[in-house]
Amino acid sequence: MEMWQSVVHGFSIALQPINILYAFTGCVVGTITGILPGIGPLGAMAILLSFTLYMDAAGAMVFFAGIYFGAMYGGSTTSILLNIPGENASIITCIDGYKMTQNGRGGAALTVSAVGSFVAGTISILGLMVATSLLGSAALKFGPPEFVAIGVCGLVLLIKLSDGPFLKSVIMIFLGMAIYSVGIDYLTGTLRFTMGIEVLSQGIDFLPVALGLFGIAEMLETAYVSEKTGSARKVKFREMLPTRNEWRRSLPPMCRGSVIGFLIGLIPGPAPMISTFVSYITEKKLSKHPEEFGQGAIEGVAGPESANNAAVSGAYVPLLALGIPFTPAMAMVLGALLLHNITPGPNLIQEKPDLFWGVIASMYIANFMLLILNLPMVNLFVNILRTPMQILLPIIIMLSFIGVYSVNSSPIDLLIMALCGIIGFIFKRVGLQPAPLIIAMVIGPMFENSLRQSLLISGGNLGNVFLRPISLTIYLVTVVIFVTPWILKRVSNSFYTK
Amino acid sequence: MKHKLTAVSLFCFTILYLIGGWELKLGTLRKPGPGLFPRRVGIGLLVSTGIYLWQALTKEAESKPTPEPARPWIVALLAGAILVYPLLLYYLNFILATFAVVYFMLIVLRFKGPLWDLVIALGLVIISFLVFAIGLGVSLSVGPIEEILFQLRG
Repeated sequence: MEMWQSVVHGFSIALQPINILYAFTGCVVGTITGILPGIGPLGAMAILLSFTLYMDAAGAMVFFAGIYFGAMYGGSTTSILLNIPGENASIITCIDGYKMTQNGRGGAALTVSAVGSFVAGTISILGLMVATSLLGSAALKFGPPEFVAIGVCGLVLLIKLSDGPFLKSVIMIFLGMAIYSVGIDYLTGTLRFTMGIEVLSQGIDFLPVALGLFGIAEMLETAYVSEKTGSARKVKFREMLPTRNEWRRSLPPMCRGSVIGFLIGLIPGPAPMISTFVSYITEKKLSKHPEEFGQGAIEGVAGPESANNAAVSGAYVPLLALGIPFTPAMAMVLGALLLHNITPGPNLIQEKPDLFWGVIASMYIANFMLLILNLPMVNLFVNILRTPMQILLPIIIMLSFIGVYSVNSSPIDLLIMALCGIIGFIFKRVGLQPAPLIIAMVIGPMFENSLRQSLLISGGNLGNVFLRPISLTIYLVTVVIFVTPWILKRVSNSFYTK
Repeated sequence: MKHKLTAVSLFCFTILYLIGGWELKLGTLRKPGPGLFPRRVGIGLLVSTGIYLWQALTKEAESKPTPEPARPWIVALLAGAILVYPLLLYYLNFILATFAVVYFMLIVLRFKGPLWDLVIALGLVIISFLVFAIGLGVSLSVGPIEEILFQLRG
């Protein structure tokens, strides 16, 4: 009962005009970044991170939720109409979505994709409410040793975050922690790795590093490969109505995709993308007409499109309940919260109920907004693909300059961003993924401070730090989460080979 | 080659980090010092980048297929412009520095030709200043030209 009152309270916050405006802007920006190949929600969030300083914390969360959900919608549009996945999570939609377009059912595929995303958004937000509340209540019993366990859990699971090899992920995690350790040690006041440069005593900010590694590096990569722009046939409004049979065949995959997506969203890694593959395989396995998959089966659009949206909500659970981002996009969300001096974690629901429930309600509103926005405006959004990269690139880089400079008015931050951008580009070329680095930078302080506090409190007794019941449970859960994707992969492979 | 260079650079960074971390007090388990965490991180980095270096030097690196047409010189020029921007900003302030960099990028990317690019770059910079600095109150580097725009607003 209390939860539903909180939800109503959340809606009263989310429906404030300013938050609706943030949600709308986020949805539009997200849809555009989802449509344009190369930028993606992560790049958009990195570039716009500094601008969230001019919003309140709830507004920033609403804005980012809009971007993330919008990107999932936008990515599916180009997958279906042009066979160009704007987003990794939309790759699988190309298979049957584009076939449907070739068969003259592209409009219906877009509608099923949009409705599926909305259904998934609704179901998964309910899951997010329940899971976060339960996990948050349990986490109230946490002390420094439990946070050490959470830190270990986060760092170990980070290895799973990138698609790259194990060794490269480990290097990036240690690099992230090395970058974090620059600056003053807040427990003793000792300066670390500052090399006598005064500016470095405050440490290296998350924002210029994130913007450089994701935003600038992505722009350099785009310039390197010279993206082509595309164009699509216009979709008439009446073509967007699915037939009764298409609706009947789509609804079960939407529900299954929602559950699959939400559960996979709880696991570290590129959850939206993995969820689409698992959903597609599941639907093909369950279908009475598996031979239609690859030829324009509507289930091949409904399931994966629902799953990727649900995975977005699932990814919010560990961040909001434990304060640990399991995906790079969640690291950006965490970055936005930290800019507002808010540290998410077990106490968030109690300490900032307005923020927590407002964000939950806003997610729902963002999903609804995307449903009513994207279908009528699909032709307009597809036209964005015609924007030449030669003009987009300087604009985005200029926005990055403005964003980073506006936070501390420091040219040093700009220099750090530029260096990180160049390093990020080189990392991309040699297959080093920046995501673990950026998340390790965020988890590092929590881990170090909790470990040192635990050692101080326990008088150096390692048993008291690592062997408490809750800590042991967290380590056990870590092992389970670590091996689950491996098992899922094996199961998927066995389905494929069959 | 790029793998080898990256591996060597990462290893050199690790050595420097370890040397820096070794100078910090380690403390004891009862009273951990500021060097406890960096030293563990340094050792982790040494092991992982050491293996990476060894792999890069001994194994034939899997070469990622280069996208066609790849344009390394464009990236080099853009990277140069991005690196120079903080310095330009320091001396020229927002409008001139940003205009110079955006114009340079448009020319490098061969957008519409020098004259059109000049007009577009100027327009972009003025609009962004009006929107962000004057409209939204974002703090940007201000000099005489920016002051004039502020005064025009009244």
